[in-house]
Amino acid sequence: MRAITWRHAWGIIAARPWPFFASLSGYVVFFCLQLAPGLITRRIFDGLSGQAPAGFNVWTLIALMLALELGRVGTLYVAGVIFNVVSYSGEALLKGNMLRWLVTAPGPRRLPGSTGEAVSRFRDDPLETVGLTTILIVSPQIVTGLVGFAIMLAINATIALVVVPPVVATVVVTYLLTRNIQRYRKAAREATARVTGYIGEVFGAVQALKLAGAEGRVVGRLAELNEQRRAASIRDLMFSTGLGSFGANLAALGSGCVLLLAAQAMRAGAFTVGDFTLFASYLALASAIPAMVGQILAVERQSRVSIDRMRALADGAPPLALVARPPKVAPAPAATRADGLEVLSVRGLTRRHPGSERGIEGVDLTLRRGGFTVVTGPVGAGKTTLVRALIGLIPRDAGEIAWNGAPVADPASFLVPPRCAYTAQQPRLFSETLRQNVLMGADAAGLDHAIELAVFEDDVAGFEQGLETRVGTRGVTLSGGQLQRAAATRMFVRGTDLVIFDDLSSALDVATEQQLWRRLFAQDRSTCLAISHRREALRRADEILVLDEGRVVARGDAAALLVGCALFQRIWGEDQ
Amino acid sequence: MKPPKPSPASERTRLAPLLLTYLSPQGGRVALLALALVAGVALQLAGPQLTSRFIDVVARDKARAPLGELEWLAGLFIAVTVAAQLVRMAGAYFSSSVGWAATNQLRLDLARHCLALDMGFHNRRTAGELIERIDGDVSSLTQVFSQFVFQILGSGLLILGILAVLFVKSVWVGAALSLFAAAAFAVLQRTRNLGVPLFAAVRQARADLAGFVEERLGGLDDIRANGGGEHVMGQMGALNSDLTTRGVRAIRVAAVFIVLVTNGVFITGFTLALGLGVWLFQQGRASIGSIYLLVQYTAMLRSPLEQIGTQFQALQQAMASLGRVRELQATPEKITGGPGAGWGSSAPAISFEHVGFAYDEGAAVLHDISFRLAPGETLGLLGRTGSGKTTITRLLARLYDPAAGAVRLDGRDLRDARLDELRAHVGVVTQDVQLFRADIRENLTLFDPTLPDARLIEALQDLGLGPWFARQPQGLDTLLEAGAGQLSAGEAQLLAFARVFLRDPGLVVLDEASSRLDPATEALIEDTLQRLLGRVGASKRPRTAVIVAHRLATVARVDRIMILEAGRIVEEGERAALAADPTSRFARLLRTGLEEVLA
Repeated sequence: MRAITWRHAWGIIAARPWPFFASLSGYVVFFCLQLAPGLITRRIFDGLSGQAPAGFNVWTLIALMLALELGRVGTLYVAGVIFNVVSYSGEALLKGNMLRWLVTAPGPRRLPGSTGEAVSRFRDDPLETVGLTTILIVSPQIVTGLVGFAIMLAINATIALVVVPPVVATVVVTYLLTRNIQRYRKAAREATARVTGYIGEVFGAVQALKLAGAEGRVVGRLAELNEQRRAASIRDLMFSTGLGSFGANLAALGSGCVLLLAAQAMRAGAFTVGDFTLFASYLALASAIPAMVGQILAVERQSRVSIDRMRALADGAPPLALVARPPKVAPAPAATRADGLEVLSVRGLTRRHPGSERGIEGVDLTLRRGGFTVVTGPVGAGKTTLVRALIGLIPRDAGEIAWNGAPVADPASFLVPPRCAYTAQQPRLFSETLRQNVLMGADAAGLDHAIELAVFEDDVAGFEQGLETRVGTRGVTLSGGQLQRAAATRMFVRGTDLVIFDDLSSALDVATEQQLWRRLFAQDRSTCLAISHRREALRRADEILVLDEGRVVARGDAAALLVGCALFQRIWGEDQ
Repeated sequence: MKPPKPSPASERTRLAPLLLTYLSPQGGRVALLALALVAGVALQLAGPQLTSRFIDVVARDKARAPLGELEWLAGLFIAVTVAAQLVRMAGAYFSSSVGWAATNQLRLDLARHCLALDMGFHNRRTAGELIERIDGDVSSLTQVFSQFVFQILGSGLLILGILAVLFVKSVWVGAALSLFAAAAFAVLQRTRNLGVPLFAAVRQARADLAGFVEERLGGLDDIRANGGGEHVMGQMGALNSDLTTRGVRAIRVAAVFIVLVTNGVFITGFTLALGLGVWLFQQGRASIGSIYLLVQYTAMLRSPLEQIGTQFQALQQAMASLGRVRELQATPEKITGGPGAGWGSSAPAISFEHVGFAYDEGAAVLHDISFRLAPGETLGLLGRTGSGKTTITRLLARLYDPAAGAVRLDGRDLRDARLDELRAHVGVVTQDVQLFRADIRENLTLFDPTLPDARLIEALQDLGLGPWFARQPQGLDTLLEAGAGQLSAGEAQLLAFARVFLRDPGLVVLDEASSRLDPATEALIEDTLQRLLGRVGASKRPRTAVIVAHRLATVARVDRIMILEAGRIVEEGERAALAADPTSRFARLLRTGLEEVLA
């Protein structure tokens, strides 16, 4: 468990090793030079009280100290600035890898909470994890403490040893309490995530809330979540502060004992005023050891919470995927026409949503090149589930998928361009330009054709800025129909063998929809799977699957189903 | 959004009122915090007094130093140090408690304000960006609220205390260090704002990144199924390296103050004090103990100086956030309630009078729209996609105000009504149903606890969601989770109907609300819809309704029909009359199907 945290720290360092080690050397110099003022002050005081042979002139010593101190601060500045390169890069590495897993890894994806909640895993958890490297970079402080301790030991072993018990006690107690540190930190992080998640949900649904006049109640709910977060965060803070304070109190006890012992030694003449000043300043250095060890233990525990949260988001990723080096930009898989779609067959596709018995059960489906297959059925019949399980957006419990006879193990990474593209029931666009949205990295060569296929050309021509129009958050500045046709353009521009629409027509008027089907089937290559209950689509379908309660209850073309399927008659009949 | 560039002159005038607003409600805790700070300063000043006395006692007469007094001094030293720790813990408690209370209040105020802002504002901002602006920016103000004032005051007090003690010990040293402190203060003042605009740029980069991530997470399926992963990673890489560049640049500049200036000032001061002490000793004007005291006290200056450096760094970062918070607060609320329209609960008459509208200074989407609808009548709105149907419904719900003309209910301009009055009077069901990660009850009532469970269940039954509801393991307490497959899109739309049902408004607006329902289900709820519109049922309560449709079945039972084209009314009249007039577009539509008329 612990190893995994440090391996993440190492991964962050390994991504930028030179800045890290350059910065670390700077910090080592900085902390070692911390010992100098104590030694020099001791010489000065011993020189003044005549307890030591005058070696250096007092003024030389003072000048030396000034120079060393200024050098030390300069080193800190340089090392600190360099370290920021490491920490920002580390943050970027973690965030990038999390997103990479979510958008490119095989298998289905499901966020552990709302998108706003996930934002907190992107915003805060990488920052916390990078804290591991921060603690490592200041850990040379321990060495300073040890060297300081050694110097004290050389001056007066008895007195020096007094500081050991409090140091050991602090480290032991901190170690024993690390589990609580982790618990409090986890609670605080979760409370924070609930707040960000809620804010995200509220502003994602702001129109609905306004229409319902629910603004006041929403703020009231936020107040409750705020309060929970405040309590959890203060508990988290006070626990670690208390732990630090405990260590400091023990160290004070040690210092008091040092005073007493020193008094006796000074009376015996075995301890000079200079020694005393050195002890006074080195005691602080030595007591930094338990503080530092405590902090390392605490930060390790706290980071573990964050790493666990990030790994929960990148569900199923290999253990160190978060700190993996980003791959050199992979050449896009060449669109090999050799395995162009002839037939896609699905046997026994089954998906049951956990927690409810709904889903789909044993669906068979065959899509042939150039064919048009429509899935229809009443609300909640499992139509969307069928399509999403087919292309791997959700896991399937059973079922075999074969592309031209060859089994497809992971449809999520196989049924993608250049083989297959998809338009969701409620497609999402992003707040960038229309061009960026529809291309989404694809080659712009087929753009005009795709726009025409999607019956989108008049709308685009009507926009003042054409394809450069910014579509606003999630595409809100477009009408429902425009949004769906923009998403259809995004699908068509990929030039895939197979296109899949989930209820494309729900926001289209009939004329536009007809035009779309007409244009799509004017080109012979297209194979199409659509969810629809509109006559325009049903009439053109080569095969219709009627789904009810997750099972195919009838299949055939419209003419046959109108004779043989009562459910289909209802779906067909009402739409006039 | 440009990052604001706060000027040092205006910053105090912006910070002070904010501190006052959010700190004054918690006077008690603030007072305790101040007390902890003063006590902390006193205890810190006491420490070196004890050790210096200790040295002098030992040095005065090595052999006969009274051991009792030394033990007493050592004991006192331990007591003072422990007390200082306890006071520090109390201070930490009070300051974080003050900070959280203040920032939570600010979060609430910002959230309330943003909720009141118009849809034009929200359409330009992602939910992720608002998370950063309401929570992220405010969080970086936490330290200002919880510590800034107190630490700056505390550190200032400690510095003054140290200088006072030094004056008592030696006028020369006191005077020299005071002069030095004054000079140091001037240097600190001049350099402390070095990083502010750069930190503002960092905050904006963080907000951009959060907005980007939130949107992409919401559209994961679209990205993955269309092979957009590498493209998204490219964009993410650019945002990440932008943040890194800005972050490192900000630190490089700001650390000049935090590290170089504060430490440089301290080191110079310390050397000065040590030199003076040595000189005084050589002149025979100071004991070795008092030099030690001098050095100790001067060394003690480091921590308050560092504190001031840290606090000003936090302030630098906070000023950047503060500017963004201010900017958000200053965004005017365009849609504000009027004095009240005094509508009853009965169905209102609608009138549009020469209404024109454009989104965000874009091209006009509605031109000179005028029509009337009598109380209890239903209007079917037809037209091609993009013709302005949805815009009319948005104006009716006052999500936007018309650019020209007026929208009236019962003769009163919508702008006269209080917002709560308006929302209670107008119920809207849109195609896009937004669900919360909350239980079914909260999703139905939108967090209104006053509605009894029995009514909620009744509404679900009425809409044919009964079998679905029966499957929910915890009934109304069942948590609805995004992507858990508990609710199909069609079922979600039925749930949206239920929301409006429960609020019982006088005017109902359905914007393609049944488009995701299959015709069979739609037929099933047709009765319920008629009941919602007050056409049938025991509690016959007529409602005015506007129904946007793209299927003729949907408008089969409306009273009037209006056909829009490119933002203008091309036909409007009684449905029966239009259907009977063979030259009307609507009649042609009925004869030949929608496509030929609307194409």
